[in-house]
Parts: sequence; structure tokens; C-alpha cells
Amino acid sequence: MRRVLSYFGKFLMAVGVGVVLFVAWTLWGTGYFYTAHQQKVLSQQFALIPQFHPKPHAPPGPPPGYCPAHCHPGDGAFRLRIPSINISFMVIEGVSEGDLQRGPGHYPSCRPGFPPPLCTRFREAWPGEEGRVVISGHRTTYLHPFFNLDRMKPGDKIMLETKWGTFTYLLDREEALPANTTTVVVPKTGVHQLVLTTCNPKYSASQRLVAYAHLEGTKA
Amino acid sequence: MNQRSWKSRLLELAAWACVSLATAVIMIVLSGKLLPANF
Repeated sequence: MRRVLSYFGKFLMAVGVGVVLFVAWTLWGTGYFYTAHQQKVLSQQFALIPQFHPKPHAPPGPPPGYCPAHCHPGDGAFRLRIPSINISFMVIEGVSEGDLQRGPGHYPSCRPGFPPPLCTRFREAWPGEEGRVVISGHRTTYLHPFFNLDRMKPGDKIMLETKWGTFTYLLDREEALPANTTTVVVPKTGVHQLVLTTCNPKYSASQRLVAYAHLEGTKA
Repeated sequence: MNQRSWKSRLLELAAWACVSLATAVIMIVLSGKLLPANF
């Protein structure tokens, strides 16, 4: 009996160590062994796309021909930088599970390659364009791009570096909404808005943390 | 007194390490179904 108990105790300890390894993999391993590599590859691919120089008074947004040539599912769409929380990530075109494992995702319009429900039936807005640019990202796994999103303060800069210019948005406010909220992907007219969404609170997905920002400046 | 050799102890330790790794791998495989998509 004593021998059986001894082995059972050792078995429980081994399983416990396995659970700790799983948690470590989920929180850190996914980021360092997968997302970091994917971000490097995306950066290299993005660097190969030529820089466009829009004419003065040209409408903001991707130049003619940019989409769909560089807007396939999983393509690197643009770079997101938030100096106040020290992040710099390539944003992926698409918000599927696989996309978000590679980095924050730009919410796409429903079109071939982007089936519902992970798309919006409205026209997607691109950085600089009128409407609402929506970016979703992980909070605790896969390099947790939005881990410290709640630490941002109104007025903090959010930069979107695209192939047609760099667009600086300033944070207006943040709010926590129910997890099933879909209103944030509904476009807004008459404004140039950026919306960042992630899970809330940390280590949970019971809510969504939503950050709203407005376009402040453009640099070609 | 336990008279087991160091080889025997090492083998047992390796076996328990395998159990730990198997547990972690099973949980990682299942995590796609258990964890919310945007955790």
C-alpha cells in the first residue's frame, strides 16, 4: 500500500510539473517560439513592398492597386507602434485565430479569403482613411501585443506605419465591453478613428478592452 | 534503507519527466479547444 501511495504521489507531482510547463508555454513559449519568428518574417516581406508617395491632395488610404495585391489573408498590412507601452508589431490582414497568433490583426471586410464572422460586412477602413480602423490583438498569449493596453493614457500616441505614409492617432478613451460586443467593427462616418481591441481582464476573455483614438497627423 | 542504484533512480526520474512532458503536450493539443480564441 505504501509503495502504491508513493508512486501515486510521484505521478501527481509529475502531472503538476506538466501543468506548469503548459502554462509557461501558453504565456511565453507561444510568443518566443512562434509569434516572434512570424513577426520577423512579416517584417522582411513588408520591407520588399515599395513605398508609395501619394500626390498632394490625393485621398488618404491605400494607393490604387495596393489592394488586393498586398491585402491577402495573413499578409503584413502595416506596422503598429505605441511608444508609451513600448510595442512595435506588424499588423496582419485578418483576425482569424491563425492570424492573431502571428500578431495583431486588421479587421477585414468580408471578401474571398475572409469569411464571416471574422470580418465586417462594411467596407474596412485603412490607416488615414475616414471611418474606423479596427485592430485586434492577444492580451496574454502569442507575444501578448496588447498586454499593457490598459496602461495607456488619453493623449498617448499610436503610430500606424504604412506604405503610403505614417499616421499618428491620439488615444481618447478606453472602455471594457462584454465579450460578444460587435459594435466596435461598425464603421463611423465623418471621423478618422482607430479602435484597438483585446481581452479583458488580463488572463481572461470574459470582456473586451476597447481603446478609441483619433487621427492627429500624417507624414508621407 | 533503499538499496537502489543511481541508474535505477535516474531511469525513474526520466520516466516521471516523460509523464510531465506528455501532460504538457496533451494540454497544449487540447488548449485550442479549451482556451477562448482571443485569450
